Amino acid sequence: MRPPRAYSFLFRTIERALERVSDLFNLRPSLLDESLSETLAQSRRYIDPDSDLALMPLRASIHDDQTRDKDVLKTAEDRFRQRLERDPVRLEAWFSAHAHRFELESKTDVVAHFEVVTGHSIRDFDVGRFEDHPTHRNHIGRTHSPDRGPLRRSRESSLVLATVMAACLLILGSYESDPLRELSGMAASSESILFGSLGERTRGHTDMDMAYRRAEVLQALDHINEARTSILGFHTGYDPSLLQAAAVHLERALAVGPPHGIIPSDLVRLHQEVRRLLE
Amino acid sequence: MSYKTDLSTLETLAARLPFSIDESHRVNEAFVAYMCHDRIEDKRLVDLWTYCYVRRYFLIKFIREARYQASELDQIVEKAYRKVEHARPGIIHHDRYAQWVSVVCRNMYVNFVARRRALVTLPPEEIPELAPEERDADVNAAALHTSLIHAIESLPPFLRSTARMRFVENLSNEEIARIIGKRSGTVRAYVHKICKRFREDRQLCAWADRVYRR
Repeated sequence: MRPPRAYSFLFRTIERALERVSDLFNLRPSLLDESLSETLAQSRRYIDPDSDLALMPLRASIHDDQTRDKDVLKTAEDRFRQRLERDPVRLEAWFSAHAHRFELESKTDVVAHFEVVTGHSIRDFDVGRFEDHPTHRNHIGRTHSPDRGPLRRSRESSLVLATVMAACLLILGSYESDPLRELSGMAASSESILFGSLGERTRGHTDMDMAYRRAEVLQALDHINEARTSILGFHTGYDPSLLQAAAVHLERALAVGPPHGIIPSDLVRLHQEVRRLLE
Repeated sequence: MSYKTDLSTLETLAARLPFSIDESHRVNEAFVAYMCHDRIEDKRLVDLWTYCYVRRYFLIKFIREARYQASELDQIVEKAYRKVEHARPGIIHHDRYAQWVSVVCRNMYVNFVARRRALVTLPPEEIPELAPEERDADVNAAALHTSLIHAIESLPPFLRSTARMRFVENLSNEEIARIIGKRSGTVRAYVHKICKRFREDRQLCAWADRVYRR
């Protein structure tokens, strides 16, 4: 027998209160075991600026051609290059690592060593030899994925339900796109605002300009979220006074100049869109 | 000291792989295929990746430590490769081959450092100490990051941006909530779902069980 609706509301309220208390006193059990937690922590290091110097030998050992999965590592590589261009200490460490690598490899014919050690001939590995191999990146669907039979069935049921609901809502009302929501998300996730040159372990000791810009953007996003009004996601409108406050914060963020003068284009567009809505 | 003008480097070999050295899931697939079907093409691919990985592993360690010689690099690469080739028929988890090779290399490097310490008399302050808690993060960082990104990309679309912000950018739940315009409780629920899927991700679990299990 299902409990009365009032009891469900009470349970949800108590559950939320317990969650807040758990977070406050860090009582929530870990969602990941220790080894997986450490694996995830180490997985961040490649994109963490604080690890740049420690990982310089790794970066010196990877030539651009080897980073074939360019899409996967692109963000980390782009940010690293930007930091390299701005920081003479990193640049010096980069050149030093490359010089040392050059010295180590200059006395060895790696291909000849490979042939001696493995017994294979380099002719067996002509470029393009493995084009048809199932592990080649061009073979879509070979990426790893866990077996999710029951989850796939529940996903299909959810998809059907969602499709029916969307069709009903479209019949009942008109749908208007909300470009401000999309731009907010894009601007907020722009690396130079949120992460950029800030390292994982240095986030408590940020450069004043970057922290200021970050704070202004987050304030603007708060105002935009509060300003938004809609009926079941349709007929979106905005409170002009809160939008005006958001515009002020965005202008302050945009006013932050060099050496942190990388103005994310998403931030500029967001500001333009806010101003357009206020006109 | 002479320098070769026409270098035959690690890139010369790695260019012949159909994937990056850091795509551990692909070499694991190749090794599974090799152990199941014993095809020469699969063996060649596995051998090529193994040599490239082993060489890069010790190249990174030698770049870090300026005192090691190039001749020692060739010797240890050969020794490590032969050890891997000899021992791999006994691997139980074929789909964790890359991680197993990483552990073999690490053990060989530990022995190499210990032997060298015994041979070379150095003042105590110059003896390099291995930080056991590093677990070769300096070597495997790109591979780990690749595994994380692939795990995120296999999530449902509505969880991906939260996963990126939480596990790549290391933002707090409150910051993520402000960015995506949802309540903190919703973000916590998202993170809970993400962690559940990460616990099922084969490659993340392979790294966790093989390299980071204490």
